[in-house]
Amino acid sequence: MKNKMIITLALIAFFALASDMLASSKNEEIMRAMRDEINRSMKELKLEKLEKPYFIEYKLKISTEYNIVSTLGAIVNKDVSGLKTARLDVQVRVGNYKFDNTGFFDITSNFFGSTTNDDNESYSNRVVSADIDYNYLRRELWLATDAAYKEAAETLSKKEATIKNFIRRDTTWSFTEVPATKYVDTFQLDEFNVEKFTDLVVEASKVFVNYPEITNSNAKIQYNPEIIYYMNSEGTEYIKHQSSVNFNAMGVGQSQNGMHVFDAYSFVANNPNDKNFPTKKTVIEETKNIANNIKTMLEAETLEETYNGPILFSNEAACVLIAQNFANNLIAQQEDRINRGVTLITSDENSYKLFQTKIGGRVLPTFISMKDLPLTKEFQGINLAGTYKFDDDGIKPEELLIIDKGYLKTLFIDRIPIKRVRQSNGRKRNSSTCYSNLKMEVEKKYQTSDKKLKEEMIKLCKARELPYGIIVKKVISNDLITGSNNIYAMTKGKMAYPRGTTLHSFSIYKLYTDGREEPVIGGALAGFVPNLFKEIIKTGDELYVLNTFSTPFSASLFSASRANPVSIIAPALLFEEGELRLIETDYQKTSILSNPLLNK
Amino acid sequence: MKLIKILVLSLVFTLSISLAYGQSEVLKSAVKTELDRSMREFSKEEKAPYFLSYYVTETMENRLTASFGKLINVRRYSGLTTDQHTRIVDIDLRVGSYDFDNTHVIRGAYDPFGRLSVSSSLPIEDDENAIRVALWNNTEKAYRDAAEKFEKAVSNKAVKVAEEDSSADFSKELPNKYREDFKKRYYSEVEARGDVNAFVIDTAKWNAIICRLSDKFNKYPWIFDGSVTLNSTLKNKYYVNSEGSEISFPETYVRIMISAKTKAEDGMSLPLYKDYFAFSCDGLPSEELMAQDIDKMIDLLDRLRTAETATTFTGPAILSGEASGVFFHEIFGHRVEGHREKDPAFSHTFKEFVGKKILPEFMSVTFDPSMKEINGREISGYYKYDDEGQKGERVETVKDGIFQTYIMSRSPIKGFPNSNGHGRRSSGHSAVARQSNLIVSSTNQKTISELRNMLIEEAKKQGKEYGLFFDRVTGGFTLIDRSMPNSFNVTPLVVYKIYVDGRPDELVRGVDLIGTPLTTFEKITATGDDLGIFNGMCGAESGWVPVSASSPSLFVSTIEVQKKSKSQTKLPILPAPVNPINP
Repeated sequence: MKNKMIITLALIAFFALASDMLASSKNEEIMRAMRDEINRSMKELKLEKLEKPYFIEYKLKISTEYNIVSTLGAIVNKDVSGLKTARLDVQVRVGNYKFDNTGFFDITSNFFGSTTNDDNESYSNRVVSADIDYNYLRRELWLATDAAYKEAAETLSKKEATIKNFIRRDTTWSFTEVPATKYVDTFQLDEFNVEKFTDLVVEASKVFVNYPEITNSNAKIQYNPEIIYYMNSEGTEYIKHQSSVNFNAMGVGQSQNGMHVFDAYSFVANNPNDKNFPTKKTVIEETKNIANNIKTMLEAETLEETYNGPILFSNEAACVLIAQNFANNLIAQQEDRINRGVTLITSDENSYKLFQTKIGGRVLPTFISMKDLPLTKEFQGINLAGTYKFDDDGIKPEELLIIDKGYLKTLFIDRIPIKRVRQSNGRKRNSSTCYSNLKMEVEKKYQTSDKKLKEEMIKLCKARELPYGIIVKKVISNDLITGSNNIYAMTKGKMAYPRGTTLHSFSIYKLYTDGREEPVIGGALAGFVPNLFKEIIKTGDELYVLNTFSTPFSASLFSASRANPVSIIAPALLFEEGELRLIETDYQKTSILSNPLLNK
Repeated sequence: MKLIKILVLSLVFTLSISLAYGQSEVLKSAVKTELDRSMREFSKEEKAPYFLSYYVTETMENRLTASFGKLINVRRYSGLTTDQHTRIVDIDLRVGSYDFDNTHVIRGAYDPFGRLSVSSSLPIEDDENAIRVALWNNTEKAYRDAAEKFEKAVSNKAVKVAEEDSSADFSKELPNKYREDFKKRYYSEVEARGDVNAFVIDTAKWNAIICRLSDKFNKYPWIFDGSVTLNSTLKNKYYVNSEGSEISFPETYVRIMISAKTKAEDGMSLPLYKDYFAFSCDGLPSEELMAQDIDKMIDLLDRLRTAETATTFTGPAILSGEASGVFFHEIFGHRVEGHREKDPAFSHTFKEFVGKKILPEFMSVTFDPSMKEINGREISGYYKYDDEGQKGERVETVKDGIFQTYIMSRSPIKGFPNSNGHGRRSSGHSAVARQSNLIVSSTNQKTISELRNMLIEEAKKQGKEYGLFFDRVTGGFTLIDRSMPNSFNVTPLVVYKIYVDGRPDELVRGVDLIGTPLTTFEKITATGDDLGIFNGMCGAESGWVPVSASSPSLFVSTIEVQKKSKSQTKLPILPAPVNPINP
């Protein structure tokens, strides 16, 4: 028996070792193909009369997607084949760090197809086989690099020709120089337990069977493990493993006056075996909670008139508020410096530009600071979703004090500098600039318990002769509203599409001066622009950790990027001034036929 | 409205595994319950529906693509879910009456989404409650959309001049009942995984085959795309309507598509395609045969990249059988799709020609969805019932050169009040009249050698140095809008010059075949004694549908070609990184 065990263990060890060696040899083959083609291209790639590349970057992403969706206990979509897909991104820069082909928008090439690459030879998001060998990858890199170089070289010439008609005011460099780095992730990405998660999703979705007033509902899980192979001509090389898992349960009902009322439970982590992943019991309880909340809110009274006055966000709601309306303003936006074509006219609020020129200025009350902690793995026992070791450019991120006692110190930035911030702080993730784990820190004397926050609000209301104040207990993040199978789709497009700084919440309560709380619907949390954050007068004394996704945005018209997992750590926030705006738009009539669930 | 129709090999890269379920009684029960309930309850409304149908399509698709010897797996998204296994319902709810309903053409309105149906994914599991809730939600939407559109149509009719064609909006048809269950077909017991009705392919075997086939392109660094795609699909279709029709049947097909592309020194991209279609893997050619076809394709690509470019030309031409099939599909087929004769935006090319000559008297054109094969080859325009629950009928549109009738959906036109089973669509679209298996036949058949002699004689007569032979085409488009020239453009892939002085035939590149239909038909002088067959997917306002086009070679006394647009991008600057012959 003992011998058998030893043999078994030896075999397991042997196969594990063999598997590691195989993976390692495959990794080396991929990196060798990249190295050889990058060296050849840097040396030989040149069109007559045009400049050579000064920088080439290869990124190969091999990913898998697991996706299960269920409604009322029945599977709608189950994509668990575990098949790998691979995509290749090649970036070529021509010119030099000071002035290169990037940061130039030319309507003739960007809107009406490239004048250079009219063969549709793709170099961005190029689909390649996941079963890669040296010769195959060299061939793909060769064609993609050729297409990328031709476009870059022509763009630089166009940019140089165009610039002769401009008086240049911003001579910030095109690209910052950074020292080369090398690293390889060795940890294994989690396996996805199909049986367990199918059961979880089905059981959660089944909760809604008992709520016929909820007209549309689902539960779903998505897991995206991926391996990224990266190399650039400066010598940076890495192999990075990353993943995110996202569970959601959501439901939508329609009030008597036609308003769509919804709520969602969401859990985000980096991997499905995360120690904080909720148990089936918890998931079902949380799903019941949102179903009950929808039921409560469907019967809630409607706001009579627009409310202006103090508003208290619970710590969970405050985290979504910060993620959605504040944090993105801390990201440096590198707009095309030379624009020969259209200029997007957007408000600074909607395009998160408010803090671009505010470094050194006050953006929060002087008792609040904010730190971004990309290297911190957990907080209060909860794994943080935004943690990473190296960014897309291979740069180790710094832990930053981004707002110090209310004053903005810097902005989050990658290798494309702006006038006020000229060095990367390692924030490039999934092709966009993003924060990681953003933590709000509040001076002790401004922290107080939830009970005292409510008392404080009542005091404010009385002083203004308001009958009640407003408490927001939960805000639904926009990434749960937009996208397939999400809330907007579930209303068949009959609700207002989320845009701007308006927040969606169906957990709003009136707090009367006598201490009563009553749910209310029919109001929109509008106007919570970043400048309003200076109106925070007190905060809670308990920090909440929200793991969520930050939807990328870009000042450039064309960018390929996707949402990044991030964490927001914040307490409840009491705003001295805020608005709950009466919604006066018309709603779709309620259903003529009753829900079949009522007749079952 | 401009109609652009493209007939191409469907080359979307996806992969999924097909596992099938039989027609579900739970699904049927849920659908019928909601249909009855909806008709009953909505009848209490001021604007009650007079017709409601549900069309549930359960699709299990398996797509494998290999490029240069390597398997590429990319999921395709269609609608709300991945197409690995989907169940989609399309709802047709009509308010008003058969004579005038919400689908009535609103003249002067630009409505690019007007042809979209209410469509939604359903649970793929047989849970009656979940299915009924999904149907309920979507029927509500369909009703509201229909009621709103009906009111708009009523006011539009009131403010506009009398219509050219005042036919009813929906034809009255007898209800159909049909049921056919899928018969299991196992290609591998392991793959079947015990599913009773599994339509499966041996993915391991086919992965290896398509990898080996696409690997053949690896030896040639001047080939920039070289892929082989296998697509096997099982669709379980279930249709039920308020008139009493209830139809359920399976559809299967397997398709292999080979695609390769090279590039000439002047930048021109030169693609070639080869397509094999069958209703099951048994009907596919052997690997050896496909490998030989790839060798021929490579040889042709090699010759094409150094071939001379052709220039603008008018003169005589021969179109091969396959090219003629596509040619007819484009310039004739889309003009006999009945519903277009009612829309004042379209040109109504043949409206005044019913009972009159439009083709030489030796030619006939038939559409026959009931044919599964022709000359021993399986053809992809086969179906039993169309997407409006009507039996697919054989329709002889042209007999001995005389135009007889249109292919019809349930949208009647003047003189043609009923459907002949050609109402077709893909999920998410409303059905309109679409082609099935187009078959061109002729009583004036010549051998290919005789056609060639006729070409040379005609070229001499016209004082031309050469005539053209169109060997292969890949599709094209036709314009049938009144505000545009009623022209067509067919995209040739392989064209030869046939010289009158006996010089060898010369492969040329870079031209499109253009013209207008009625003039071109007049110039058809003879046909070959062969029959070329083209299987493909046809895209138009009701989505993508499988079709075929079969024709003998055609001799046309005068055609016109124009230079095609071409890429301006140079060949790669550096040589291929690894010498493929001696890696």
